[in-house]
Amino acid sequence: MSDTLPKYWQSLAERAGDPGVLEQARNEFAEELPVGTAFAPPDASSRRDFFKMMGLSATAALVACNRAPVQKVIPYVARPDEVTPGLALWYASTCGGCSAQCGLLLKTRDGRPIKVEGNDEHPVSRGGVCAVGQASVLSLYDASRARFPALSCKRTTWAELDAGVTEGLRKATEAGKAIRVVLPWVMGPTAEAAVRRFLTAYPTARTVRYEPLGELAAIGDAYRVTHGVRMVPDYRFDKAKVIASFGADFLGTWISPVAFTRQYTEARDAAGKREMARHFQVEPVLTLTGAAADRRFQVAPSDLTPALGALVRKLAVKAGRTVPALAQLPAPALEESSLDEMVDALWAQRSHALVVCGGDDVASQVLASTANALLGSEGTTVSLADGMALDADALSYGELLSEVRAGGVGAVLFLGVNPAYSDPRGGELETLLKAVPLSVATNDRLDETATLARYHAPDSTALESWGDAEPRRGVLSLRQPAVAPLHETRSVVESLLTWAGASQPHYDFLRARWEAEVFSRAGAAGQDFGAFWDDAVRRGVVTLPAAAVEAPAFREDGLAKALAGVARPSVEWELVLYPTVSVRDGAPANNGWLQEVPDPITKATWGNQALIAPARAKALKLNDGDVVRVGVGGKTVSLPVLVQAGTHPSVIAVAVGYGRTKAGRVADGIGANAYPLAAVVEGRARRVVPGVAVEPTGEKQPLALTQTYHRLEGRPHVREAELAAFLTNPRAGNEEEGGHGGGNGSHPLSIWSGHEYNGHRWALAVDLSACTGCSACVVSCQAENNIPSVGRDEVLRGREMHWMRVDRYYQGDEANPQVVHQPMMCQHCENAPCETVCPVLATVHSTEGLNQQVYNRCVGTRYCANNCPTKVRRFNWFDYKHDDPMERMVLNPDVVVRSRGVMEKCSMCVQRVQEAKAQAKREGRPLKDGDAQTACQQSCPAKAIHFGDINDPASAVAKLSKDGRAYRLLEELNIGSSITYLTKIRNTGSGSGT
Amino acid sequence: MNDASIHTPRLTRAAGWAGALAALALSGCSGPVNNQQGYMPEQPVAFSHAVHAGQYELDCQYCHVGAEKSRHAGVPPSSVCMNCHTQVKKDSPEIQKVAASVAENKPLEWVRIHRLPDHAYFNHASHVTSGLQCQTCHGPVQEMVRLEQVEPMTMGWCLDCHRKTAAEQVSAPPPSAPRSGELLAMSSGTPPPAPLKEPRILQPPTDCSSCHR
Repeated sequence: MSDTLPKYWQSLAERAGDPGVLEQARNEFAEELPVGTAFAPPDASSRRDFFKMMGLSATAALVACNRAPVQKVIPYVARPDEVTPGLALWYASTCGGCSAQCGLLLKTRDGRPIKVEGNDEHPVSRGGVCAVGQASVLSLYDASRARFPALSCKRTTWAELDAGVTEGLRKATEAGKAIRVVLPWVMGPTAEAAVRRFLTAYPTARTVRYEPLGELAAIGDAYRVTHGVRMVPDYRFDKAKVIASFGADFLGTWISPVAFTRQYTEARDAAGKREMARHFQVEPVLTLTGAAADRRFQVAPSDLTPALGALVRKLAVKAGRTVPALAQLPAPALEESSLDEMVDALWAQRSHALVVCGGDDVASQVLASTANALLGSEGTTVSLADGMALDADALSYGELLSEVRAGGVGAVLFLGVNPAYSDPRGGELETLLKAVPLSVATNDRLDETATLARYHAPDSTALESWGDAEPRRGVLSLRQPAVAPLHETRSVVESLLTWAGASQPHYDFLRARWEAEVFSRAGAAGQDFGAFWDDAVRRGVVTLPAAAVEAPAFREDGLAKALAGVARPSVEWELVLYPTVSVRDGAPANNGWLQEVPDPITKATWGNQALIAPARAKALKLNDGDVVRVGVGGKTVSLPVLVQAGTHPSVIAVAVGYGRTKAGRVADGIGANAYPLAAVVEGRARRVVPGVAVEPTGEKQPLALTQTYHRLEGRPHVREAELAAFLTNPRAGNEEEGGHGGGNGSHPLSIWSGHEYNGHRWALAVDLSACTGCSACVVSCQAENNIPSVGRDEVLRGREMHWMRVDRYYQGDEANPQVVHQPMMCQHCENAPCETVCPVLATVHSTEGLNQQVYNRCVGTRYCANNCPTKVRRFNWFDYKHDDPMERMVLNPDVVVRSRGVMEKCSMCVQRVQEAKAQAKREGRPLKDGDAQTACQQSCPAKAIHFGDINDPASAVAKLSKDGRAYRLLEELNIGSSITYLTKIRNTGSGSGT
Repeated sequence: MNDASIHTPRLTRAAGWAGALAALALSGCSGPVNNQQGYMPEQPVAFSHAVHAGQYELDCQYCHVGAEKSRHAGVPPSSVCMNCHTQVKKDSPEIQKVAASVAENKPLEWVRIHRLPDHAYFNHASHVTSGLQCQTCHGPVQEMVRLEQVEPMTMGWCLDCHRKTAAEQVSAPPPSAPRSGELLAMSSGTPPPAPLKEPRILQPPTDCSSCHR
């Protein structure tokens, strides 16, 4: 092993050389099969008996009846024009998973939506979809969704519900009582129009904007201070040359991670642009974004704002401005040298620098806005003109609670928000709502909040409804349903219009609004609206010509007041509540795919943990799985400890979104709800809580982690290089013997005769420099290939079924390590170790370079998994039943559902390849590069995965396989992997190599 | 294994005997294992391919519209029958069954004859566009009054043809009529896709993953 290669580790125990962990990792399977005990014979029968029975069984099978049961073919009575059985229909639409509203293409087969893909033509999301968006197709079929409207949780009819609600609203208006509509910040322009129609109909009505994580609210309030407008600017990471992020996980969960990931990869395309934006991350807990950063500074949560304040102070000095409000800020604990490094880098790029800040603290957002104003980056990396205006008149949730307590509220409508679960004051809601005569919830299920409301008017999911969105000013994204509502649900827009006395179908309202508002601005002169509309529906997005919008100007007058409360408390523990890339704020929690995606950093599935720093764990003698009680203000939550590298020593970090009680059969009781621990400061919930108590309980709870039971054995699976070194040497960091893609068969000594590929030869190239580890590919693969979720117990036994995983490797200091993510799937080896050991030829090589798994031949010896060097083969220990008649509708009819006792693994989406080949033949043309895309490639927000025919010299994958950064795994073993990895490039500024 | 001999637990052995006996009891049919050659069930409507495809020479794809573009050839919806039968043979009791299906919006439940196992992904479009005659797999349908499975439809039978076609270097016929997608392209004014210059030599795959995924 070369000494120049960095030493990588996957877990703290591996780094420390814990003998138990090393021994565990040596075993192929996490536990021994109970062969000797469970099946021990009470009395041994003879070998002769065994053969007698074998013979009889074989004879019986041979002479047995050969007729299959009668099957029916049931055609349509009248076939809809657009439907041909066996062909997929695609609908362009808009995601409803979070406020980012990415563009989607929904694949339906025989009327069932089965897959979500990204819309390449969408100018904001540009073909990417995150894990949550991918999983929304499973949430559509969620058996725990509400199936009908309800009164006091009992079934009712829409007519009765409408009569009751309208009557209640009328009474409240007549009594002069307030009507409050509690809704998220981002609903889409047409839904907002429906809300306004409702507000006009009821003069005492007002909106209350509710957001569990408080991120948009903080930015909006900060821009109200610094620019006089409540808005969220459009951040442009693609235009940035230096990025300083203070706790903003913009690649994982912050505002619009899919769009930001693509922009970020473009700004850091060292190979293409010969330059690379430098990324500083200042954060208390290791996030996906921190893992990607070139320089990561670890601070206590309470030090984020002072550190940002000190940075702004230094920027003001550089700019020659005096900002008196900054003087009052406490001094930060972050070293002066780190601050200077950031300030110098930012100031050098001025207008191409970008400072972003995460979290729910208004003061820090005010500082970030000030930093961008001082740098002059407004208009380039921070676009106010393209920003998203937020409801200026909205009340906060805290204000609503005070109003309800004062008794002035006659009706409350919850439009898809769940404060009973996700607000620290959630417990009070039950008693408070008793005093409100009318309460309505439109949540998609009878969840924590909806069960408290008198009426439940369930909304349809985004896959069943019309709608629109404006993720960036002038980019209008249409949502169209891919299926009629599965249940007796009704779009929230229709409900609002009905209660406002202006009942009309959502489609009519949307189309009329587009005719009036969008068509006139679209500059489609000479076109009639019908054609414009049809085209918009087909494409899913319309980009309006840029209108001259005057961007609001920065002003200093409110700074002093906004920054007055900033303090740096000195406490033993600070609690950080953070969202994960999978269950986010908890709304999509009842989804097996999302529960089972390993967290890209902790590798934990099914539940949340209390993350603490290695140093702190050592001092307290806490290990992974030791249960601790985290308490503040009389509320406690018990959670298992996960010792996480890159956590600040004063921090205990807990993911929100778990511990649901009324989400459904998947999420209920998984993990613990950490929202009640959140602080309430001046009526706002805050996710950083100083001064919590942490107390070991002495109990143990095993953690369902993945990856850690595999071992690297010191091999250079991941390679990386410094930008400066890479620019002078394209093979920097990749100098290992045979590290350059010489192709297969070129190994000087081989016992293999090799294969001949006369036609296509399929291959993948994965750019480690682009990959952020977001795990969208994992869920996309799961959806495409009918991969079951196995549940917590089976993950504990190492039996998760994912065909592809994203391995996470650490390097360096355990207090603040560097991280590399590596997507790992079947390597489709030329000389595949699995193929040589299969006794029944169930895994064989195809003429197009694929390592094929033949389920019907497999007898389950698992020799192949044992011999697989990359451990990508997964065994069906059980029949993972797809027996729920609703949930099984998500299955892809082009991929077989595997049964118990067979091995399975990545097929390089062979069904998609076959489909593309058949399509090309039908059209009488040769197959083009890009015709066939694997599921992981299609959804990748970073476009880090490339698939194609390596025999076609013009294909992207053929070019990348000859790149200086190209290497293949275990080349020294001559396995001849078909997957090319490209070295990760960092821009730490250290100048030298790694 | 810790012991040298193979043990068969009592429970397993008992179950094995029972299973073997049950299988014997069920036996009695003859013919090759797992194929339905000669299967000719009664259908809900006494439809005659001999009349439609033979006597009147209707194109197969008039009814089986998916054959050229989809995996499935498809069984025609009742409404397709009524394109003609609102005029022709209206009084036949068999046609009245079809008319009733349309009137009541209740699909006819045909009995499936040609059937591959669920783990085999056969693609009609690929075969039809390669110039394969429907009769190669489905037999002389135009002579059948009641439809029958003629060929064994086993994997070996599929592979025999794939290997033979590859060995004989058969080429696909040049598309004569506009292909699917071209009519639309022509009507909208965009040029149709350029056809392959050389005739395409058929290379029927024999890889497992061509049919099994």
